[in-house]
Amino acid sequence: MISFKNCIDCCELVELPLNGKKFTWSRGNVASRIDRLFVLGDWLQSLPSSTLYGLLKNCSDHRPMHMLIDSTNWGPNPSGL
Amino acid sequence: MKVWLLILVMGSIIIWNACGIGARDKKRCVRNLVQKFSLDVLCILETKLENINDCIVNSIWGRCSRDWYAVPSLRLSGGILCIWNPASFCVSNCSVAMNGRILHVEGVFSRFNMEYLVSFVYALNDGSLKKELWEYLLISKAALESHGVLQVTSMKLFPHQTEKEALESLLP
Repeated sequence: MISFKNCIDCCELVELPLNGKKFTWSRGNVASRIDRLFVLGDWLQSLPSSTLYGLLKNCSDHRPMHMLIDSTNWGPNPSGL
Repeated sequence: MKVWLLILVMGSIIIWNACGIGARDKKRCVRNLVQKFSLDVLCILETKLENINDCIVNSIWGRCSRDWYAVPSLRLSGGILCIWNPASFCVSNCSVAMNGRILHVEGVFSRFNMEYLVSFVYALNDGSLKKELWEYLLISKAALESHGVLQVTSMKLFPHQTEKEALESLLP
């Protein structure tokens, strides 16, 4: 039996955690995290500072998800100074 | 004397299940996001629009340089719109799978010189349809392996479902 979890595991995808907000969807008293973002492990190795933020909900039951891909180069090795 | 260099290179992507972008206030909401976050890529899931044209895209993205690809909705169900800045996100191919529930976008993230395949997935709340979806994604695993992959999933759930129930319902 193939499940969503198996699919994610077999494709070796990693879920990017959501910062700032617990849920991505809500209506009345019900809330859930039904919007998800997955990346390959290689992606995280190349761009380890990739971060996902839940934005303010407006006009929709779902929050927009903002992925900031941050590649920071800190320049020459400090030990060389 | 050595000069310290701090080079910040950032990419910015927004994915949003907007539950329809036909109304003027919805377009304004999306436009505000585009302006606020200077996006490389914007993906709207559930556009609920059967026809998308340059005029609609301009009202969202403004006059800045952009390319776009849209998967039409089936009446008022689904629909995916992806808009990107071609200077930072060089798309070589867009393809649609599973009756418009998946949009694959392939190309190079020029800022990071990185090949990518982004799959935007819209999963309806139907056990057998979802099973098909996950099976398809498993089969296309070979294609995923050669790229930096970003996969985005928006799952539809019934209003009365809790998160636990929604996750359990993912199992076919």
